[in-house]
Amino acid sequence: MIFRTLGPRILLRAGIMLYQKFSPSSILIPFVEAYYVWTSEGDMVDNMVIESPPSGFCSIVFNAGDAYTLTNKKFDNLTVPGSFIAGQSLYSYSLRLSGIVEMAGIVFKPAGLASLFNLPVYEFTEERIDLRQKFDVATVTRIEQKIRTIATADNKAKLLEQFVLELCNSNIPVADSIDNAANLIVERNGMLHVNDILREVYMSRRNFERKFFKKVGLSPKYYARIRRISYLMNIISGKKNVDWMQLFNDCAYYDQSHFIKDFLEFTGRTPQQYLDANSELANIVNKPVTQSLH
Amino acid sequence: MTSAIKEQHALSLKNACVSFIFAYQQKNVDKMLGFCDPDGTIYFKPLGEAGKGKIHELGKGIWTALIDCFPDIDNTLDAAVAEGEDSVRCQVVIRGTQEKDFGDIPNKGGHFDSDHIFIFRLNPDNKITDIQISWDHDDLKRQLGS
Repeated sequence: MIFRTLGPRILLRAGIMLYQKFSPSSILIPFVEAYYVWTSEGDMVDNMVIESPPSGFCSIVFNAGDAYTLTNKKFDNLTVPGSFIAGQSLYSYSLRLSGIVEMAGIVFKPAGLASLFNLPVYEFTEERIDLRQKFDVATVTRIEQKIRTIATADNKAKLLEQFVLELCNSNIPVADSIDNAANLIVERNGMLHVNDILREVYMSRRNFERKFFKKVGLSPKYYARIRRISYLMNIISGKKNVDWMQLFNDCAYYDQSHFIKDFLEFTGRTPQQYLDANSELANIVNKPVTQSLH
Repeated sequence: MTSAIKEQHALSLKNACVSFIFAYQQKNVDKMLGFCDPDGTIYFKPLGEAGKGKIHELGKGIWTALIDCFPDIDNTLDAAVAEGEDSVRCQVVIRGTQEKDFGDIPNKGGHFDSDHIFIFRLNPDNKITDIQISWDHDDLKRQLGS
């Protein structure tokens, strides 16, 4: 893979955190959403809690900084492995960070992990799985070491892309109907009906749901609900005042009670409770603009 | 158990439960029972004490009757989450159209679509030893016109 020279880097800063996103090469676009590099640039953080709603994406993360812990419905302050697969999250979770923050990650399209690596993604829901359990140990160790030594974010992102290509032996699959259906749900921010998708995939509902579950880890309808709440949370992240009526109309909720039900189920709080006291990453970094690697 | 072995075990547990739900979707009760320990227990929580029994007796009876009374019964597995070292929670939507009386629910030809939570417990051989199933029974009866 030959990388073209980057254009001007846009560094987005607020406080001490720097979060940068990079787009994948065109052949990986059906499977990879983005690469990210998140760093405190050598500064120390002290017991910082970052919370996140479910995003609808799985990821592979390499942590070259200090160890940190995860709290979700299943785990209470679990020390996450140094490099791991993060499956679909059904609920909000939080990270507790102390020391140096230095992470680099691959965010996969909903069926990307299954399509690229033939992994049973439903097994990963709400889990953090040590990468060494699923991939060649020597390869993982080599990438971990390189992530530590590479200085710039764009070069780290390039390394992540090389890692993806190496793991699938450069045999990039053709996106199938499940990839396309799941990516359509992402594009529409979850605001579509499963019947709309069924018309495109030429499968029975049962067959489609099974194949979707095996590649995405969730049912199509449930996945769409998660994508919609993720989209909504992205809109309100970092805000202190929100026009809820406008928002639930914009997000095509049937009525207010459906909106509140979804909000409570996926975030564990009412909308107002969330606004009053959320500690998302968006509060300490500016929303990143995705940069091109190529 | 080391952390890595624990993780692998949790993943295997999930496989058995997902296979169970898929067998239910196929209306294949024998296949469902094949994933369960012969002495396994079940609790259909909304039915109270009457909902407690053996998987191979009460469970088999209720599922067989359900399939008979709701011939188009189907389900969608929304999500499966491993909880603890030996249990898995499956969020399942079950739907069907009634064609015969079912327990205290007379047949009015109604259709139901109901969120169910299955909590499975499994032994070290990945056989299901206990199932607890909960759903909103009042809402289900309301949907069926009862």
